[in-house]
Amino acid sequence: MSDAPHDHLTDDELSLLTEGDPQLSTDRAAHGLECPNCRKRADGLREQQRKLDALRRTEASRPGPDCPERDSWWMVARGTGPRDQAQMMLAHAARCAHCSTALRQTIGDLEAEIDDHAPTLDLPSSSAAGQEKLARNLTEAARLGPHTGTSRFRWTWAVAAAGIMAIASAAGLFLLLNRPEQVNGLLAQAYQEHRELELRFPEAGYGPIRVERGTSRNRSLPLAQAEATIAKELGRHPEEARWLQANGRALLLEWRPEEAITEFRKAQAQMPADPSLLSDLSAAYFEKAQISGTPADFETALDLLSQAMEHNPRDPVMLFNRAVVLDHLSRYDQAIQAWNEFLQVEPSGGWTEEARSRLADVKERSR
Amino acid sequence: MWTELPPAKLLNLCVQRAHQDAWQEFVRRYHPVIANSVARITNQYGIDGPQAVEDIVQEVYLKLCEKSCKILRDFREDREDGLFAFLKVISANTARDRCQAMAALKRGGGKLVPLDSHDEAITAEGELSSRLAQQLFLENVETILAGLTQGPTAERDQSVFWLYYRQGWTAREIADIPVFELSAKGVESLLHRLVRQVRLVLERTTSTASTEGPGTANPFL
Repeated sequence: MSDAPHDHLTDDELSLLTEGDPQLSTDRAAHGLECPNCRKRADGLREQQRKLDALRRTEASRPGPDCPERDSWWMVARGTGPRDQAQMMLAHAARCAHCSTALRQTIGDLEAEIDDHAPTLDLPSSSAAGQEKLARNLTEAARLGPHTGTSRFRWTWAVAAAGIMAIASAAGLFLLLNRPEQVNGLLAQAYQEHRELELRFPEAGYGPIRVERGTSRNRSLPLAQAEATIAKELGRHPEEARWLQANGRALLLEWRPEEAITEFRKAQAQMPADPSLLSDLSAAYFEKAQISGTPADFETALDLLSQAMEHNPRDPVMLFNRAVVLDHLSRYDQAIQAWNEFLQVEPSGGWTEEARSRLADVKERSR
Repeated sequence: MWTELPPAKLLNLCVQRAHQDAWQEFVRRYHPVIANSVARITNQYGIDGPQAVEDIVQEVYLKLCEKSCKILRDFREDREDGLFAFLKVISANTARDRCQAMAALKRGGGKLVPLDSHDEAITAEGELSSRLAQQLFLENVETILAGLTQGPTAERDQSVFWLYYRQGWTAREIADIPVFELSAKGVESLLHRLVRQVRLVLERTTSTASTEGPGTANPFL
């Protein structure tokens, strides 16, 4: 048996040998079995294949912060909707057991043979009276109009703001509020005038924190104006990412983090790496954590913020917010470091005063 | 008149105009698919009885009503059977959530069961090391795969590879995803080509590392 390199099996031949493919000639297969070098390589290839096979799994897992909404998989399964978005979602599902399961179930649901003319099950809702009642309820729900949310209060304020804007318009004072940037300015103003969030809000000036949350007394005109404009614009462009983001920010100001997360996620499907969205999403999880007291949500907030900061490592709003989140996670050393980093970037102003006070407080607690 | 309306127009009358007759037609037309989709899932979970199905059907309608029928307002699909398919999925997802919650309750979900901390620690240690090894291997394969797949089909090829090797999908299942535009044979052939290349790179890396002596070899390869 020669050991000359040219006698050794080629990569293709080794693959054929490993796969037991009969395309490999008998004498080459014999070489592969007898030559220590080729046998070692073939064993190595089998070992790698075994490791690859061991990766296969079918169990589901919990959803993560990047997982798309489960109800959104049907478009991928049907092959409708934007192609780029579908490719992106598939790339996620290929690496996420939770979403892979969701997609698989959706395909199964779509393939399930359900005859839309099949006789309906004998259910109360299948009776004529039951169906009439359902139709009535659905009509009522639709009459409320889009983007009013479940809160009667939010709807009331949107109407009130629309009224105020109409009066202003008649008086020649109408503000041109048809751009997300302008609405974001209003939201920042609302935040600053009555700050209820510990975190900094994008584009907002300094405002001292207040203790009440989401009560009717706290509603400001800028917030109501912003909400009315958002409702109108989303009615016209329901998928527009910047309006979805603005709506999420309005929901944040109302202490409705779950709904804010939904809106930000929808916007994120179009702009997955946008730092401002990641930062907003982080704020929503932070708010959710403050309501529920779930440490995992603080962790998610920190993770999202870190992703956002990859693009803007010296952004003062994000630096400030990171320090606040770390403090809530009781990571005092990291919080102290984060406050110092913030103070280097923003050495003066209202936020700086608050940061100094918080830094002193963390130092005290870390002793 | 109502029975002849195309789905898109019917939906428009329902959600934009809040027309009660339109909703009546919506319920008449789509209630069977909602109820039957729910019943299909409850059957899968071994949950019997019309009351359980009725409760979940009501939950589906509640979901449709939420935020002023937002889910229906956001619905976009040009195909004739789009709404039918959408409601099938929404109903099945709602039913699955409810059935899973009921099953968890049956198993005593929500109660904390004390674990033997010593056993747990031993299991956790072994599991952690095994997971770490797998994670490193995964990252290695991910890097190799990124190098092997180029051009406009790179993302698709990687997704196909991972759906098969991580998520346990079959070639047939992968071929059912429309955006891939591959037949089952096409998926098999792509996988065959990719896995051969990945395996060879892994094998070469491992043998190179092992000939470089201890300390340089990746123990997970």
